[in-house]
Amino acid sequence: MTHSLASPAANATTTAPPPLPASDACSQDRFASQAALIRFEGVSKWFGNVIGLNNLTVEIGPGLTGLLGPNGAGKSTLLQLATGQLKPSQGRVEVLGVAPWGHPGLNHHLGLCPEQDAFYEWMTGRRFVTFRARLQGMSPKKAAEAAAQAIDLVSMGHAADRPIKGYSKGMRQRIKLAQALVHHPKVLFLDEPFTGTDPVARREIMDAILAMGRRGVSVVVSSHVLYEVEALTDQVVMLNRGRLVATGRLDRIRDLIDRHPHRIVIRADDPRAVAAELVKWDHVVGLNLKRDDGSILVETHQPDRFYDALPELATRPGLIIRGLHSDDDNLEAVFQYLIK
Amino acid sequence: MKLSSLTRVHAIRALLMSSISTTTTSPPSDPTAAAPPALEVGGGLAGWNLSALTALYVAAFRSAWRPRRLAILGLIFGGPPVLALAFRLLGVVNDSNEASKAALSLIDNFYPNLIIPLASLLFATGLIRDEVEDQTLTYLLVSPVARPAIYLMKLKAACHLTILLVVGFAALSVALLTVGVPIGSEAPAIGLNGRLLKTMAMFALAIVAYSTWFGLLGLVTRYATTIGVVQIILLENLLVGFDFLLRQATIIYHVRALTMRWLEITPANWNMTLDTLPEASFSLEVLLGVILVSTAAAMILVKTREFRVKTPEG
Repeated sequence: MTHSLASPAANATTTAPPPLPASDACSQDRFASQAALIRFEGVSKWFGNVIGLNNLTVEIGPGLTGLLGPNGAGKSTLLQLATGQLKPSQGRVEVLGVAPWGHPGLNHHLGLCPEQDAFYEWMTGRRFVTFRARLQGMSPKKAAEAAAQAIDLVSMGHAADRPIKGYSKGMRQRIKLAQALVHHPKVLFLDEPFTGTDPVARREIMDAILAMGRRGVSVVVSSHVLYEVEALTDQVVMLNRGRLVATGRLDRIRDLIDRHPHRIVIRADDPRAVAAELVKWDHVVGLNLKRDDGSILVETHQPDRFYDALPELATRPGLIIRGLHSDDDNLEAVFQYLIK
Repeated sequence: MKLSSLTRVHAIRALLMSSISTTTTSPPSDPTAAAPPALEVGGGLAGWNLSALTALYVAAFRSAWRPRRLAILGLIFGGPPVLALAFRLLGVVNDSNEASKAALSLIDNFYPNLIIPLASLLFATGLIRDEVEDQTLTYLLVSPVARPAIYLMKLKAACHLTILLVVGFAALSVALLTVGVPIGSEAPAIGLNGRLLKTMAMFALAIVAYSTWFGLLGLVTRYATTIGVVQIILLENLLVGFDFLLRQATIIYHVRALTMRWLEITPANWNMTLDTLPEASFSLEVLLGVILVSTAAAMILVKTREFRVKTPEG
């Protein structure tokens, strides 16, 4: 069948890839949704005795999509299959209508920001991004121009000519993002792009991702932190232990989660005094004073209200709060809720 | 009624799926939802773009330099120049004829059986393994470069690097022995420059043969370096000294056969005579066969095999 996808506006900085041979095109009518860019149909992936993905069927459409799951859920395996690094043990993977395994030409249209903090350390940031552009087939001049654009997009111009080995974690993440988008991919895969970044770098990376989305690039962001993905998109695919847990709008999933109490741990100088105040809040449904470290485990159905009210409590005399963290930040807890 | 865990999972999933009918498509306002983006993934020569291959070659050339490898290479290549310097300082060579003989002796006895295979082993077994260990292979695999092309460019860089090192250090050894030495009273027995040129051409052939073989070995087993060292010591150095048929299965045997045929020399310690030697064309065919078969097999392996680059998740 003829590949029906229309050609986009030519990208000035990329060399035109040769046309798709008919044999490479996969039948479009295998799937119900014509708009889906990424399709996994009954896909399993084994690594010896370990299962990475288990009979996964999912479609991901255009726009920004969050790929959520705790560590070991199969997110990276999914991305490696989608970018043709791995071959499915069973089932069929299609990205832009093409099976990624064995079709390197597809990578003209895909960008990947891998999870691992790995680089050619001897390269400068600019040289690294230019190298990645050259691998896309660009001439040295066009590659340099494209690299400069990508570096500007991630606000790395000031450090681009320094060796990567001297970069901070945030800078490394940003230059990794630049190499993924240097060739203006149609689909961008970002594997845990916020890992190890400070709040400022996190904000900058988020802005860059949102900018890519506004430019019409479809972005799949994997993360094990719910709130990171929530800040980017409400479309999510949730995985756990290689299986699909849920797909769709995040607010629906959040609603589901909110039916279960949200657990927050507070450390205070006088935990009993703080607990005495917290027990008066109608949205707090449980309190547990931990004897070992003097912290308080709070359970609430309305975490947003809780976080809004907490600063006022902390300013009261004698109620010194030393720290707090959500016991549910770990997606594993969320999945425990979902599968209970 | 209390639902079982499994029923609840399905119920939750059903709830999500039903309430989100457009689970994976874009919001209605997204203009790209109606028409999927275009796709061109290339035809027959896709993945063999010259600009990409050049960039890959240059990066592979530079990436081959690793501190630990440099230290080992220093030990391997340092031998002949150090000996050459010692000869000069100790007054072992007194004129240009003696210097030429000593230079050729150093080159013939150190390079083909020891330095060339070891240097080839060091570079070639890590062609893909280094990238896997460094977790940088991902950047190559997600590029529109054919996997066999990735291997070929890295192999090419490794061969060129080894040849460059061999020629450079051999030239340094010769220079240390010959520069500034008084010209001998007798006519030179050996045309040093011509002989060196032929020797280096043969060394280049040997380097390519060893590199392609060790490159394949590096793809087949994680113990390629150990196996390679054992091969170099047992087969390429010990076995080749015994006059029986099996030694024809070594690379060094055919390199020596070509040396004896083309350079018309018969070193006594090689335990080889012109009477029993195969024709030069046969040895040449064997070496070219090793190169072609090893390269083709490695390219097929790289194309069909998965390389699992470890992520922080494992």
